[in-house]
Amino acid sequence: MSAPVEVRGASKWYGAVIGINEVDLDLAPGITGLLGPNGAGKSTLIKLIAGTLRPSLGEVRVFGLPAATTPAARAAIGYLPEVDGFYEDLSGREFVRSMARLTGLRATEARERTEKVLVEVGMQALAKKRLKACSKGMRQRIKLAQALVHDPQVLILDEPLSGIDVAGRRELMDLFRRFGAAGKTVLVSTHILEEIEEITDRIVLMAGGRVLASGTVGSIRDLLDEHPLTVRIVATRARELAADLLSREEVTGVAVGDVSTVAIGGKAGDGIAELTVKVKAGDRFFRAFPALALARGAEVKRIEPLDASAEAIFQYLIGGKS
Amino acid sequence: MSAAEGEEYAREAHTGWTARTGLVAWRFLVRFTFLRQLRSKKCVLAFMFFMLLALLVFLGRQLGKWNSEMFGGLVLFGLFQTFFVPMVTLVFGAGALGDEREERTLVHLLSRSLPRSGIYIAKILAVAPLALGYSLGGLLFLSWLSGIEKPGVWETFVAVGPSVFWLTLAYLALFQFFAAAFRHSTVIAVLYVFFIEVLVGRMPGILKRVSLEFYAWSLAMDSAVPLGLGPPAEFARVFVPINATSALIVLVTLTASLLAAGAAYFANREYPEAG
Repeated sequence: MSAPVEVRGASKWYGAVIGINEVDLDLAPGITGLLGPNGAGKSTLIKLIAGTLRPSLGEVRVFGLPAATTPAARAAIGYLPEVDGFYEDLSGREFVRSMARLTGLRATEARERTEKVLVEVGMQALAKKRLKACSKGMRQRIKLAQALVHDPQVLILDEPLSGIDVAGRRELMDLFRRFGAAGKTVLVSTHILEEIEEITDRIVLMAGGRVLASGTVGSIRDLLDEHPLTVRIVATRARELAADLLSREEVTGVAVGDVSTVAIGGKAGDGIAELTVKVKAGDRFFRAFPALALARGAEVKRIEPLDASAEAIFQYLIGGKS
Repeated sequence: MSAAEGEEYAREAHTGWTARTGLVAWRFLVRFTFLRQLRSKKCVLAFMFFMLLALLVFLGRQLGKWNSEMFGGLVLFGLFQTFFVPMVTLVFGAGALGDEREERTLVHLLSRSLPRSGIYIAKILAVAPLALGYSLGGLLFLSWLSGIEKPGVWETFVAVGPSVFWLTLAYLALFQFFAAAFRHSTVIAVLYVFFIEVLVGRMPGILKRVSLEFYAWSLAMDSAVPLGLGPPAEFARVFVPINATSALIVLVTLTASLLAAGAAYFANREYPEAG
């Protein structure tokens, strides 16, 4: 049986700019986290699944139906867009009810469903307030309510926790967990790994318009251990640091190069140099390096992976954990 | 069960979508848009503009200025058709879709289970009663307010009404097309009215045939001139109308073509900024 959402060789260009490039992805029932830095292509992928954009190449299907051109496919989707656009003069309740009617629910049914989802997102008491008078967090909850109001099988949520306070995040994450447990397909886009790790360990990692990795956080970390990586480091006492690095198992080579002391704000005599380090287990290397530099008394001016993909992975996996 | 029936079954089972739910949603969109535009500030603005026009007609009546030539030339074929009808249709035609783009609410329509062309048609159907209410209702009201007895209110309406009706629809179709194509469609529409309808539309020779108003006037000429309701005298000298039937065919064809082209364009155009 095919997955509820299938993305096959999908690419999207905005003129000469690539949004996503040859993405293949299956979204199964349960929660999937979509992670990646700004410009990774997350929003483009989300818009393609929500059917508001169509792929330049490839296809995006929801229950086997093309997402962008089939109204029935969009009926299966509840979409929380990142954009903060509302009919400002309406109250939250009127807005959600109107969105319910726009999915084809009759007036009575729309009213009942609206009240139910307002309770679910914790907005029942505040939903009479005009949207223009609502805080960012309230507007975000109302946006979530309109995505849920027609009881969709697939939920596509673009930064759903943005603007929500800590207690509210807990509530909403519980809500997402319930949807996932109920067999719905939920895709949650976020910048923050910890957020998503609390509700699922199934993630899709994007950078540069491509899916770099998908699976559990653990399996991606395992993949990284096998992924050779080049890291550039600019530091004082660079030659001693290079010797220390070479003694480590995960480091396969170090090249020492000159660097302008003026450009990096150093002083002559600091032993500043640029090290190009080849590592075979980036995860372990990045965990060990701060202690190594500290022990040597080296001041690290700059450290960066020379591989854009790997940088994205480390930003989330290492940055989030260390 | 045939393959098509099987697909339909799967579609309903997973998505809950049927032709009936699609129709319910579409009807709601028409009503929703109508009410939003009715309550909009632009609608109030159009009303205030109309009241200014009405005040002018009322003052003219008090001063005993109106006869059919004056009223037809200055008000009906002048201020009313040349400025008021374009303005009202611009407000509603560019507003129904343009407001959704400006306020970034278009995403809530594009992500619903409505066909794109259906959204486009719903939008224009929703604002057509408002624009026609202003233009045809305005024509009746101004004719009554002028106090002219010959021709009477109904006679004037029958003579000029069809051209106002078709001009309103043609402008609506054009301005909604602008709204689908351009982010700041109101500015484009204002420039269009000023350069094409007002400037080019009043030039001697054949060039004026690019303006919609030329066909609206041609449509009204045969019935309005015998009643003394022609265009201003200085313009009547250079205005060589086509016959009413040809004018009607052009207006109907243009309106239908603009509507079909707009719906097709909107169905295929992407709005990445919409979210």
